[in-house]
Amino acid sequence: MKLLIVDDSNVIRRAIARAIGEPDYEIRTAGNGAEAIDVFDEFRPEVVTMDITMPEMDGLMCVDQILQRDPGTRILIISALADASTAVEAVKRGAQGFLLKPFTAETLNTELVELFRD
Amino acid sequence: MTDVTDLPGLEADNQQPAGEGKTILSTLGLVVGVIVFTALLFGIVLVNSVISVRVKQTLAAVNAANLQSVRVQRMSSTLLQIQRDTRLGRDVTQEQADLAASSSAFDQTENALKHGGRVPDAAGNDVPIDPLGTEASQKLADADGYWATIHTYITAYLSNRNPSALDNAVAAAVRTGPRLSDTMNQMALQIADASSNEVASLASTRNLMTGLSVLTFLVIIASLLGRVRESQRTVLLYAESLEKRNKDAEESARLLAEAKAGSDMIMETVTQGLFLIDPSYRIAGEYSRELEQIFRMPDLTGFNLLNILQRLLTERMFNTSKDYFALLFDKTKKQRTVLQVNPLAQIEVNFPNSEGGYTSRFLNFSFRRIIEDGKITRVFVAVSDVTERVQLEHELRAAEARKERQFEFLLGVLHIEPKQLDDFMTTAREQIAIMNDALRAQDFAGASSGQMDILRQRLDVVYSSVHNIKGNAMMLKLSYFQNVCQEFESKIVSLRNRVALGGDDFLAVVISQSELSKDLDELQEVRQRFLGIGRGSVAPELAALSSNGAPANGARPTADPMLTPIATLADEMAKANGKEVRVEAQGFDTRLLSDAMRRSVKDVLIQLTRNSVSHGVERPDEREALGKARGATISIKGLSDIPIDSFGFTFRDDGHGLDPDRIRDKAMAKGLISSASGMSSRDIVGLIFSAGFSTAESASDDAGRGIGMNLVKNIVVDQYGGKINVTSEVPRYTEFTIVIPLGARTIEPVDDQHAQLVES
Repeated sequence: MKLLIVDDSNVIRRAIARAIGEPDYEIRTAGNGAEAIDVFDEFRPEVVTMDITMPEMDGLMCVDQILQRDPGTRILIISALADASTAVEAVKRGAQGFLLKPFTAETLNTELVELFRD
Repeated sequence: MTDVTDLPGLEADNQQPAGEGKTILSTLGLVVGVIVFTALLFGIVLVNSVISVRVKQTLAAVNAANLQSVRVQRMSSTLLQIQRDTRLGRDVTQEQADLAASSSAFDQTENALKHGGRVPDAAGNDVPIDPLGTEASQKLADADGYWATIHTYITAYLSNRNPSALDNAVAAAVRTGPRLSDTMNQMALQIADASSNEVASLASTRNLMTGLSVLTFLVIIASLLGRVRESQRTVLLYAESLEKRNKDAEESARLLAEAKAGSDMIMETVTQGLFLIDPSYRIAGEYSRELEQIFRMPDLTGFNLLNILQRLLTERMFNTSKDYFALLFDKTKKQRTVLQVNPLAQIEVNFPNSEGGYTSRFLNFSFRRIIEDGKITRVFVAVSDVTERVQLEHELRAAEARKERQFEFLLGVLHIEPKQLDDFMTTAREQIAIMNDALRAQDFAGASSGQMDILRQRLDVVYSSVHNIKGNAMMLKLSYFQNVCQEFESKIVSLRNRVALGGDDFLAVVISQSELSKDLDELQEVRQRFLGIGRGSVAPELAALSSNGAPANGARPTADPMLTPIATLADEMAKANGKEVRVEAQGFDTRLLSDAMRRSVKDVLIQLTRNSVSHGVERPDEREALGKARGATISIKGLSDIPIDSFGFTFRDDGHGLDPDRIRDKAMAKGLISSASGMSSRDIVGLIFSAGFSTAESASDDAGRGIGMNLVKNIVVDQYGGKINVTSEVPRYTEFTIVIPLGARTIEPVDDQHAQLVES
């Protein structure tokens, strides 16, 4: 399965990739919203983990853009934002999962599995 | 809950088909009965008419037989008349005609009786009769025999009319006539008898039929009565089953009532607001009593939850809640995800109170979808007031922070020379007083957009004070104060970058300032508890803990104790920046200065040190490339060749020096100047003392807020009317020469334009 990690922090990107476990996923990363869209167009991932606060284009806008391109994409918001409004807004726009930073490998993998459960 | 339609006792519905079959059968019987009854009635009528015909025929036959008898006698008497008249010679034509007519009539009647035909009855009407029955026929045959004799003689006489034939005829009539007449009479009797028998048999048939019909009639009546009884019984059965049904309904109603009483009790006593909302967010009637307490509203049934929240939440949270409610009822959104982002899990709400103000409470809402037939028909909501818990958590956190703070203060107190700590507190209090002055409330109340610049200047004053305190905290390694000041500075920076400023925006600044003041009180408290009250009463053994601290015995140390923390500050900052810096001092002693002046000099030294380490000194590899020693040196030297009423020193680092081109570019980028044309390099170097100037690339603890050198200028030039001289050579060194007059402290602030900056 193809997975795109979008986060402006290099450390977080690596942490997510490590927690997921490479064998199960083909992983690509992007450091901001604009880059995420470029990578998305080329890579066409099934799953995207998305930070909310990023330079260039914020996560919410990125969610819109990605779902416009492929409404079937599963998006997991991974954000340090404790702001309830942003979380609600993300789900409203079509994100299927929400994970609060800091997270553990276990909770991350649980959320990834839940993304595909209807 | 039991569905009423499932209640027992409704088997009556199932009895219905059997009862109906019975009724159909009984109805069929009734119809047959009526048909039989009608047939019987018809039969009776028929038999009666047969009897009537039979009686008529019999009467006609009897009449005919009697007539034959009469005719025989008349023919006998006519023959006698003819005999007599013949003897007398009279005309017998008439008699002969009578005789012929009677004979003929006798024949005819005889024929009718024998084979059936019409005979006149007593009234003279022709009546059709059937051939006679067996017995009567026997008599008729007898009579025929008698008649044949008489008829032969009479026919013979009438054909030859001779007297002998007449005599023979008379003799036959006299001899046989009575017998014939007699036979006819007997036959009449027999006909009557036979008829009577037949009629009797018909009558008994009729009577039988009448009886049957009466019986049928009775059966019909009985059956009808039975039906009525059956109906009555059915009605009774129905009534019974209805009663049973009612009883069952009552029982289940009672069970329901009991169950409801149970749930009511739960709803009455549970300390949570439990309720259901429909897709238009209306609260259903069955909600727990606590809900009214929580929402502080009676009779919530039918109220729109969103409308209730609208009055309690901020506009932003209300809008978020509105979006969230839509998600709750949106089948395409997974419940798990929706529950994860519940914005009302711990929400602050504001209830208007009787004093006209607001009471703040924290509420915890949790939601569960109720799905019926694949649709989200309602959402179950549980709400509880978690104010106490939240407050406890806050208090706990505050207490923990306070404990941490006090521990740190204690460490600070134990590791810092008491005098330095007191200096820090005095400096900090002075700066807080300056902030207080700048943040006077009345100046902000009426602040309009035109006064924006004034507000910004005030912010700069506050920023400068905070920065000063931060520098002192860093020097003493009071990291708590350092962090508090750092956050404070960030707050001011974000305010300063705002396009519009209002009086309310300063509230955060005022709060931070008062918190800083409180922290200072706390530090004071800790200091007093451990080191005794006030200066001079410092416990000697504790004071001795400070490595280079002044011994309490009054012996004059070789170097100014202020230099040790400055050296520490330089070393720490250098390490943090991957640099190596050493501080050396010569002839620098502030111990004869007033406390206020000494603190000011220390503030200047702190900022100069920060500036040098951050901006002046290169990294070891850069230094090596320039052929310098890896470690940089900061030299602080006291000045002796200055007026006696002044204090002066030089502060020199062997860093890369001040580059006017770089300063110019930076100043232009920062918008401090629009063009450098007409500016001397001396003017350009002077820009480093402007507020908002910094040559470092990013803001950090150590430098780069563009305030440090401005602070130096504020103290030396503005506050004391002193002078700053800068000499520099790229890439060898930078040297600041500071001279401060020891006279009265200058109160009038000096305008930037008049700052006396000298460049060699």
